[in-house]
Amino acid sequence: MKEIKLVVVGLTGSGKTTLVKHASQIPVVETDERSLRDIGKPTTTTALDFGAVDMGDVRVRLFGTPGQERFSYMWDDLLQGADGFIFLIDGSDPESLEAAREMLRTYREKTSIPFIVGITHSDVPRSMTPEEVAKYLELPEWAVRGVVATDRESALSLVGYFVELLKKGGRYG
Amino acid sequence: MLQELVDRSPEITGIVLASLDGFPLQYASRNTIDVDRQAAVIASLASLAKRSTQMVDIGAPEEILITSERGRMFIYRIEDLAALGVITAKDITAGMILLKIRQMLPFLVEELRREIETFGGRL
Repeated sequence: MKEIKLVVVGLTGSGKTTLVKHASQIPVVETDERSLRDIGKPTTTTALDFGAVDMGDVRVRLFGTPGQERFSYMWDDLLQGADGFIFLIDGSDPESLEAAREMLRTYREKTSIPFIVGITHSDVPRSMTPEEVAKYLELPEWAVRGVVATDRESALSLVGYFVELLKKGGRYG
Repeated sequence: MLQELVDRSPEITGIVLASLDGFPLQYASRNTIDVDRQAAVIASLASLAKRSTQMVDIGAPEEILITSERGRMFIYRIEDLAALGVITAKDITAGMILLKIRQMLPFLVEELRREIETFGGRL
């Protein structure tokens, strides 16, 4: 079976842990700890998330990154050997878009591996659409997809979409 | 408390107390250290150690020991409150460090609980 390593990145609260958790077929390794500061959620990832899912003849290994800047030392380590990354943006929080663009720019400077953007909370009314975000980030529309990270089918659909893109690009295995 | 321990323990070069979400709470060091980054790494290691021992069903980690070229680092998870990183010289007696830390821990726990209560569950 061929293997793909995907890294799930994005700002705090963009849904990285949730996506890994819902897409994985195996019990997920989480490093969430109670957050002592108000970051809009009770826990935060302190090292990584890890899950895996088989998609046809491909085993996808999913590595979630911590979103907070002080854990950024993990980002480079987790990108080592990755075939691509999924950059998540909270679609219900337009105010985070500028910070997300900056973070995406940082990642694109770190690595030239393929990536797609997932717009989480896409089921929330008045959530930003993939088209709007693609335009803002100056990316082609095919590179930005909506996702409901809490929904297994939706999470798998995003991962599967990216795997198919990677297969076409021939950068896996 | 940490400064006192460093002052009376020549083998200890630094101590960093980090919240489990990676913020520095207290530190004392003979050398200059980037305490913000060090606190984040200590929290990550404490969390990874906990998950790793859970997966092989050997209970909660009591101590993480990293031996490097010129020194050692001991990391202790203090209940679900914080993580303590102790940086030492290489040629030390590990048992002595553990003893000193164990003597200090109840006081540290008490202090942390008091601070958390004061700040309504947050530091």
